[in-house]
Amino acid sequence: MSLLLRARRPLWRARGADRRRFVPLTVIVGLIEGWFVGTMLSLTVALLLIGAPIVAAVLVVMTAWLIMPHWLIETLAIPRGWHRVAWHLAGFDPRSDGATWPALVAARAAARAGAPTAAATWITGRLPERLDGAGIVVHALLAHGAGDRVDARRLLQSLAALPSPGVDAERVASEWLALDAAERGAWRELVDGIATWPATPLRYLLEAVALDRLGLPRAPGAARRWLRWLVAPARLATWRYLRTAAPPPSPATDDAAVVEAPAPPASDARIAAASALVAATAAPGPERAAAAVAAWSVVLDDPAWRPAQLARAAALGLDPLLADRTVTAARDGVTARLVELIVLSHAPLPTGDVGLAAAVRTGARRRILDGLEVAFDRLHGRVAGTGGALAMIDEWREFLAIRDAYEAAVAPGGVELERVAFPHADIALGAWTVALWNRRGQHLASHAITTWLFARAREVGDVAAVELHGRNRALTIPDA
Amino acid sequence: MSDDDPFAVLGVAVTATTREIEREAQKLLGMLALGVGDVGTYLSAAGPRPRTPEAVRAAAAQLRDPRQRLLAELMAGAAPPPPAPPAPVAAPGWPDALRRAGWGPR
Repeated sequence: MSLLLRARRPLWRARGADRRRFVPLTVIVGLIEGWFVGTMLSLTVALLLIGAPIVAAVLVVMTAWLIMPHWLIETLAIPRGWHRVAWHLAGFDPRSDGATWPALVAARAAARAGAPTAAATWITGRLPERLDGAGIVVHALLAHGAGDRVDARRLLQSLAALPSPGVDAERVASEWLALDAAERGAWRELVDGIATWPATPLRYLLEAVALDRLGLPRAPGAARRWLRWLVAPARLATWRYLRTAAPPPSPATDDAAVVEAPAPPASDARIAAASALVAATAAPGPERAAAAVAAWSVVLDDPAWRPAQLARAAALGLDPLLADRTVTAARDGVTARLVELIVLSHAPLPTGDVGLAAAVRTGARRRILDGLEVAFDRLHGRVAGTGGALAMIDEWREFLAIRDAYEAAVAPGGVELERVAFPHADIALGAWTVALWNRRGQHLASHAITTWLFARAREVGDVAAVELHGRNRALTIPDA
Repeated sequence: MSDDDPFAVLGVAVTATTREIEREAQKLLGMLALGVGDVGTYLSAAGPRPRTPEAVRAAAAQLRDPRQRLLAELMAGAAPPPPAPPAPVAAPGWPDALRRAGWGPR
């Protein structure tokens, strides 16, 4: 009997890793627990009948000890926001996979109560010094409780960057991210997460809903969706998803509301270019920014444009020197506006070796690199000791912000731009990983940053950096 | 840039002479002072905008300066931006999912 009960833990873990066996494994665990409770109750009744009430009471307590903690956490401690009760009950919860479970359920309970400062301090004060997956999840749940859902989402998503974030931490993050995506109607995000996140009962159901909503061929049929619903919690709230989704409504088009813009005369390239700039400024986006660059290239790269402008300047009474400067300033002004648009909209950098496209590309590259350099210099100064160390969760937040800014900035310029940007990232973040590992003992975060640097170094083909970060990445992470 | 298109503020063509520009500016200032007609607004590339005496004077001054006029001519006459395409309609989500499933603040 004891062996069977112990078998539940690997079964729980196995169902998270293999979605095809999720329902069968859940049923097996349910049968084990049902059989155990049934046997215990039968024995208790038998013991009572033969006049051994003390032994019967011991059996009842043993049964309750195996079944009750999890139920009490889910139905009492978390809904009521009792973080201390949740913490202590979690120590007896057989579903826990390690020492991190109390902090995770306590953070859930505290978040339910709005993450009051006292509760947050109580929980975070019990976290290990070294930031790990559970620590990140705890901070994310507390951020959600305090109302910062964007921070919570970003922290939980960052778990995927950590080496071995922990089974419990991954499970909690997986369920939270699934619910968050479902709430935003981000069904594609849910489907994409199948490859990254372990299955939990609710995520497994929501994945079926997402596949169905997106009309993907691998969407499970009605019977399978029923099964997923049966093994998921919150059945009352999720019953509506048992039905097949109606196809998403086609975009509403209110003919009266759509005003057709008068097209500029096709013959006047200058008006077309001015109109493209207005359109791109009114609603910045990669396509409109690229269209504006293309339209202005037609005007400004025309060999006749400059002589015509000089002639016009002379007609307006400007002397030749001033006319020349004015025409140059006009061109520079347009270029600066286009650079601004390209950088703002993260549009791909224009191609072409000469003319306006080349000038815009050069200007945009300079802007992007300047922005990154400022961020890296600030980080480098702080790490070198001039700015002071942050709390470890804030160090992690800074890494996520820098990583996202870097990836967004270099994406428009491709590998060519990243080859110029990477050395700056390498210097600042490389020193950071060393400081985190050696000075602060933050091996997991340091390893995650090193792994990211290694991937970027490979992308740009920086052999020395690949070798260095590859070596550091291979270091054994000491036990906590 | 085009919001302040001085040609649109004054309602003159890009090819207007300095004399035509001055005459139109004086006429608009007079009409604005008397509140005559519908001169209180003009159509810019960003849609209808209020035409004030200050805007009329600033536009006239801008077109009086040959350098500024040359720059204004480059940007003049832009068409209003096309309406944004309708956003793709996402399949509706599960409202309040996290809270209903027992996560986050009550």
